[in-house]
Amino acid sequence: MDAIIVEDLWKIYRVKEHRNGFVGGLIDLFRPVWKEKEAVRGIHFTIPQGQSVGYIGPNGSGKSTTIKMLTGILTPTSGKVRVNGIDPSRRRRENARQIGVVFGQRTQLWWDLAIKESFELFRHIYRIDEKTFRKNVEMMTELLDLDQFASIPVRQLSLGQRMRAEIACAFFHDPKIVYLDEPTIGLDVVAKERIRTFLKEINREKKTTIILTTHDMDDIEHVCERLILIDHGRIIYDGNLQRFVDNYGTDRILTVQFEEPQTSVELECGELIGFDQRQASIRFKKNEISATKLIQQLTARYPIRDCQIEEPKIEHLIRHVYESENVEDEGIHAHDHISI
Amino acid sequence: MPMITYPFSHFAKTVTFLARQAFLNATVFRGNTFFALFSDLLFVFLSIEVWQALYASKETSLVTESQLITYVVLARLLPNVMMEFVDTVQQRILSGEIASELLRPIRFSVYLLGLEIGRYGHRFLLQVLPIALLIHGLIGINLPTSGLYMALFVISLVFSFLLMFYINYIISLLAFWYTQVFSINTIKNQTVRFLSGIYVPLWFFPEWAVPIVQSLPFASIVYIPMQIYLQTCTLPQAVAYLGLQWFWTICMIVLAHWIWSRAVKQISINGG
Amino acid sequence: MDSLKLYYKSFLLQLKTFRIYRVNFFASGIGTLFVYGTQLLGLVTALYHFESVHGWNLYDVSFLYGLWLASYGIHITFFAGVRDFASMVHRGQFDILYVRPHNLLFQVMCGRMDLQAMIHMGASALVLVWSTMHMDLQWSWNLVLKLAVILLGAVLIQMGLTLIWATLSFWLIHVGSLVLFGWTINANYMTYPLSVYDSVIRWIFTIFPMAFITYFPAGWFLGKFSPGSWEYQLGSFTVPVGLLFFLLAYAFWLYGTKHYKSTGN
Repeated sequence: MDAIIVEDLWKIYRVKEHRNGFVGGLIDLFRPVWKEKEAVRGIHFTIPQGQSVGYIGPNGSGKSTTIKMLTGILTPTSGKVRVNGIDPSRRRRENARQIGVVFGQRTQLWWDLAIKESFELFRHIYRIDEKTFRKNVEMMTELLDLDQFASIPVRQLSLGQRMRAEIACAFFHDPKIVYLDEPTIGLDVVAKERIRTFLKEINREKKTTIILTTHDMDDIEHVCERLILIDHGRIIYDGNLQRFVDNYGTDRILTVQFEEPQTSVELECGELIGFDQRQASIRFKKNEISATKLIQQLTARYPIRDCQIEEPKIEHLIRHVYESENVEDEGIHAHDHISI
Repeated sequence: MPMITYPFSHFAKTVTFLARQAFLNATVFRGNTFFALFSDLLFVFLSIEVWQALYASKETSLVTESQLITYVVLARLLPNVMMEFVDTVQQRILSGEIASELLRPIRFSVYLLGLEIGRYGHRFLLQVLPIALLIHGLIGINLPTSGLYMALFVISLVFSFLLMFYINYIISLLAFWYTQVFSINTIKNQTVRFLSGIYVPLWFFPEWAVPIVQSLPFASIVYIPMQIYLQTCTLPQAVAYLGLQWFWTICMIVLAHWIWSRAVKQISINGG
Repeated sequence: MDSLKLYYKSFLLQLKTFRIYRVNFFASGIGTLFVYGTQLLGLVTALYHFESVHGWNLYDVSFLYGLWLASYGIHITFFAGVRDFASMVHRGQFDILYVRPHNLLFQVMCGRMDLQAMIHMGASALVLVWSTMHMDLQWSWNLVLKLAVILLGAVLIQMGLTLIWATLSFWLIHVGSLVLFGWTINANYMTYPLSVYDSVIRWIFTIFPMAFITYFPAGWFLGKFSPGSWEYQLGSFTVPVGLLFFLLAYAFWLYGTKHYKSTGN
């Protein structure tokens, strides 16, 4: 069964344009200028139950707007949205009962109280029966390791601890779909890893559909099987994640600093994209050589002082997609997204 | 911190510069500029009607109706009871950022005073004056007939502004010792509004209370300048009023400096 | 039933956080009392000198003030979250309520309960008792019922008003100054009998029913209007007027929630 169906979905905002100065402000008051901003421009996709999907795009791409329409926060301008067969903006409460949402930037926990107090409130919000609730709290506590800080007020928790508790809250009522908006933003590597492992496990065990939006490609690579890439309100890639990574998402850039100036650098693997005597930047494909191996190769030949690895930015990935597929940014076809 | 003394010309230059900055800053258009203008106008208008009705209900020999209306209009418009800097200063004290103020080459109070003069100038030109003129056009308010009284009124208004500034300044510094700023600010605002004669002109206070309330510093903020403006006092009285205003202003300045020096000690002990 | 339980649970959590902010609570309480004290003192001072205005003496006007304060306090008991709604929208916290299976307004009400309401209600009870003690009212069950009725009507209008301000914060940024504007009119100007104002202003506050919080119901309750006069009729109709106004405000709120543009990411 399809968990989510989206057909020709549009969201157009009307925004006021402001004139300058005191007089301009006075004119604005009586004759405002409206400008239409197309945030989402006719997108399509279907997501089957149990899939884990990475939904990514740069800021202002329409990514958050889509998620807000799927969760019932925003009413679409036109088009069809069905989540478990329900139109979320018309039957918001019914939809809400079957979904869980994690907002990376806003907290659902009570700031001055311990997390278990907030958990208890969730039981009442979702009318979860005692048995299911106990079972789920136990499960989340174990998987996310919440025990060590369960009775400390939220404001004293670290960001990572807080985010783990936030995520737990989204799963108590056994939702069919969970949306996670930037759940790893600002977290350290260990905390990110724990969250990724959890999401993978819960997706496997409970068959929960997971929609993950993030800026971190690594989140997607660890958790998701499918990737949807949105830019300027249109979907520019929708398909298998592995194939995407093979085609576009594998470039890393390693920058090394030498102990003493070098005249040239020779490489067994990768491509030299920047070089001055003290520093070199090397682009390499992750599936051809691992970063450690590349560094080993370099240290064997040159005295290295410091090195740094740059992950591909979403903006780069988008450019790659455009370059290799000749997708028109301002295309007018209804089905201009590509499927691989 | 050692007391640094400046030549007056330097002081005046700094203050003029800061005031100009603050004035220009205030002219940047804000969404609720018009709303503030409209709501002030409406409040003044409603106040006039309330006091006209009260005036009509009982004979009084204290003032004429037009004097009362003039008082009500100007008492609502002229004083700036809640100055903008209070909130910022309190927040900086509570967060500890205030320590950096000690690094400024000028005295903190002078810095704030300069800014507040600029803001008041803006408020006077774009809020007080337009509303007063509009009301004058619609209903008519008294204008001073004597140039001498007018001059004394301007001096009195300067004292009123300084007094209001130093009261606000002292209140903002109290955040060093007392963190519940909402309640101190509220108590300050309401005390000023009631005892300065904004809510009710002091003429109508019970007879026994008038001499007491008149000699408190709050009366110098609204009631005294208005007495001079309306020429409801004799010239010697007006001069005596100015003397009283001067006395209270000096008191507040001394008190403010004493509190600031205590605060500086507090900063250097606790590191802010 | 479930909703009531949820409301109760939220209330319990609020009580727990209250313990942390006890000092804050008492300090704000003193500030609040000071505001009401000085405002009332202003009214009393003016009426002490002028004895009466349009047939309302010191105690009658104090009763107007007490009625306003009581309706404000009772409405804050339930509507503190709605009062502070603008900040909820600006922080993006309102999004969260959309993804939960409950009525949006109900959730806003659960989200914040202000124990300051007790201070408001205590103060208003004092003012009402003190002012009515100085009137020759023949207390009977009928009169108590009448008082309850005018309080209910006033509370409904306060709620409608607060809900309208809250809804406007979907579109406007500076709702705070609107709220203060409405509050000042209620506290400083609607606590004088409406008849002191000219006909345009009387019409405005009758149609936008701010005068139904104090003037019409108080005049009806205290027998200031001759039976059969239109003011008397209006005074006896505060509850239906309040109900209608609240429903209109709620319809406006529903419209707003459909057109909510969530800010931020």
